[in-house]
Amino acid sequence: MDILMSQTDLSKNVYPEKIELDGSRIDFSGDGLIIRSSESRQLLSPFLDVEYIAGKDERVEKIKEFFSAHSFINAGYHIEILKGYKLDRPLIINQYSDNKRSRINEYNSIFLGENSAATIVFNYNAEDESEAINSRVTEIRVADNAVLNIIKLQRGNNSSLNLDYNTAEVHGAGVINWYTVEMGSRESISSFHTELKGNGSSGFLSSIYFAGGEQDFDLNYTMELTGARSLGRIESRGVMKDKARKMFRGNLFFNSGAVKADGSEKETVLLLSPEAKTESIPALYCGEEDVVGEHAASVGRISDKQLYYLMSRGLSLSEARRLLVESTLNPLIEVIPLPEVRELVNEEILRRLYNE
Amino acid sequence: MAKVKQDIQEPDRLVFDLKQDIDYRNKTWKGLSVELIEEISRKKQEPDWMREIRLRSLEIYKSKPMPQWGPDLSDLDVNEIITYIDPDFKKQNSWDEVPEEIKEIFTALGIPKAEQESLAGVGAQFDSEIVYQNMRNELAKQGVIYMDMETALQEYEDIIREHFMKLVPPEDHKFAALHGAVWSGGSFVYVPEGVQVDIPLQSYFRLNAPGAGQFEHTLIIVEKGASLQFIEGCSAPKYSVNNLHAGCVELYVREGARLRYSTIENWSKNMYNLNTKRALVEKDGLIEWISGSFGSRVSMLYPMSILKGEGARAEFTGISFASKNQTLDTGAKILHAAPGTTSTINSRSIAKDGGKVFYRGLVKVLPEAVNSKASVSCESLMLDSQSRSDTVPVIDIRNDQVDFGHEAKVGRISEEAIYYLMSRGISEEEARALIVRGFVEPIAKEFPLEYAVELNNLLKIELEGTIG
Repeated sequence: MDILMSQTDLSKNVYPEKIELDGSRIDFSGDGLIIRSSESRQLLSPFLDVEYIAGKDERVEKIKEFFSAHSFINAGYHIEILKGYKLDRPLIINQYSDNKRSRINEYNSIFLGENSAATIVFNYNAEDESEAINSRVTEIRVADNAVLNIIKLQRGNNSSLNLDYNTAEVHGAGVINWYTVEMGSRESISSFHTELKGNGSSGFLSSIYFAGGEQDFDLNYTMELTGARSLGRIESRGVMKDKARKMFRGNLFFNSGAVKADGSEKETVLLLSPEAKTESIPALYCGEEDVVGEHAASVGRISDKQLYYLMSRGLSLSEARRLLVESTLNPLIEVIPLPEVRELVNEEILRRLYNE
Repeated sequence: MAKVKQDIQEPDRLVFDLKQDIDYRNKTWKGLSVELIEEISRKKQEPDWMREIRLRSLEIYKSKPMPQWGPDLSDLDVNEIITYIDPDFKKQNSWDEVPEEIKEIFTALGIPKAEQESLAGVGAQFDSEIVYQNMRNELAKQGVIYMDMETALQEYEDIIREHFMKLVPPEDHKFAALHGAVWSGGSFVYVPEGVQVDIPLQSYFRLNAPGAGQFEHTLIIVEKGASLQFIEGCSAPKYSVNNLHAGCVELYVREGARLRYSTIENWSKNMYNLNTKRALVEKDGLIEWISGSFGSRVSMLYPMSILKGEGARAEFTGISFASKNQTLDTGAKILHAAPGTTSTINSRSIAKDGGKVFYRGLVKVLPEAVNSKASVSCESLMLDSQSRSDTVPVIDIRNDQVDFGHEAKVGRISEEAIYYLMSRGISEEEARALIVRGFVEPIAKEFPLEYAVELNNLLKIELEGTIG
């Protein structure tokens, strides 16, 4: 199971415009940046909020059991951006499963000091079709005035299970921007829990997913607004086809003391097949009077009228469908801060739409 | 069993707190046992099958756990609840025959007056049994039936047997089972094919005895192309012991029929209101729920509409107002089970003085319900930060030929609006009250007129407690 053997020298990174890690062992410190492999490290606060977020979901029990039975960590990094330091290149972490790496227990801790900034990409993929169980925990702290962009791209193969827990605390006037793109795995249960502790802290979560075949996604997004004037946004846009299933749980908590806080959640789903199943629970929990909270959800289909209109303009049926899928997802793809990730997401959607 | 002394400070509830000193000695039956249930059944001279439903329900009740979600029910001890109160008078169809002390209450509640002015028929339940029931002659001539459940069970046994607890089986949950075991009173309404009942029928449920439960059963069948408006009102005076309401409402809306079911619930704040309501709507039928929840200590109420026939529709309009020591956990459930079905949920809630409102709803669209439309809108207003307002709408869609929209908002009274009104010479208290009224207005206008007036009075009473 010791799967990550080689040593990476960050200074010899071949991509000048970005820092790319392939899961190798690393212990780097310099230029306001510290990166260390997570193995042998202990979880900071294992499953602090798991129960809280998903309630008594039996699948959560399954994950907890699994993780406690395999409590070793064989992947992940501790990343620290020191006070006042702005990482000018994106930090990209590539992680692949294959027949030799089929049990990944990943732990990441990411700390951003005051006035720092970073963009970090987790690129999860599979090298082959072998069944993998990927368990991931990421804990984040963002200090006053720091800005973290975090992109998670999940493209596991269709026989794999993806269990991904993320928790973030945002202090002072810090900002966290989550971009999660879920397209892979047979079953993916992911959870993003953000607590906006600081007065004036902000959290934005944009979630894009494309589910086809018999894929089953369980998406849990929680924003806890605790600080005064904190700002929280959850927006999810997804397309479902074939016999895919999806559960969306969006939780907005307005805790007592979050005066003048502003939170909203929005969900849009496009269904491409009569056999796709979508469930949503966009919940609002409010314990503070002086707040603005909103949620909205819509589930739609491609209407014959829309298709007819587009086809009357000379588009083929498949082109018309593609246009409608793109128009559903584009508002969130466009805001991903890295052009190469946007391109990759667009390509992947097309591939999945046409089952190539 | 120690009784918890409650400290409930609330504004004067005027008429709702009128108590009648009735001698309940030798009339009350407490707790749950096979003997007690057989005794109720024997006293009501019920057919065997009904006694069997009661006994089976008791078994189910005993085997089911308390709900593991929602509000805290740990203070409710069903064994301490009086399950049946034996009245020593018979149901009357003239108010003059109703015992004076009971008539007084209903007169104070304005029921006989409303009957004369704006209702087609009235049923009045006092504790466990209906004490008064009457309906206009012209409706009876058209074949409309409106009577208490006990009489209906004697006179229309076949219809009752075919429908009783078929929509809400005792297996549904613990309190549905409790209802099946000890149900008493309630109304049966039958509207024959094509008959339009333009003026509403009203049943009023009054629970007078301290520590008692009310378990009325309402069964309404609106036949093909017919229509009905039915109003249900509930109230009780306040006691320091817990009261329990576990009623059951079963509504059958046949092809092309329409039913508007309005409720104003104003139980006292020592009441556990654990009520179950369900409607089955056939082809092109329409069920409209109008629901106002103001009273009770704990409410768990989620009227369900099963849209079984093509083109069936459901509309739910509800308002909840929770103040100190209240948890109102309410919502609506819609099951789209046929093509072309439509549902609309519109809910508003207000929380003040540490009150808790919880909207809990479900919209489920089955694979066969293609071309269905559903929309859900929930808004809540927080009047202070000691209160809570939570919204959990569950949306479960299993086909792609659906249009679904949901929106919800939570917020407070905006300072700008208050300043604006104050700049026009309106006092701050009045400005707040005006804004709250404006918030509930879209819902209030759906209520029958006399209830809209009652709603306004309730809001006035409730708001006086907070402001100023």
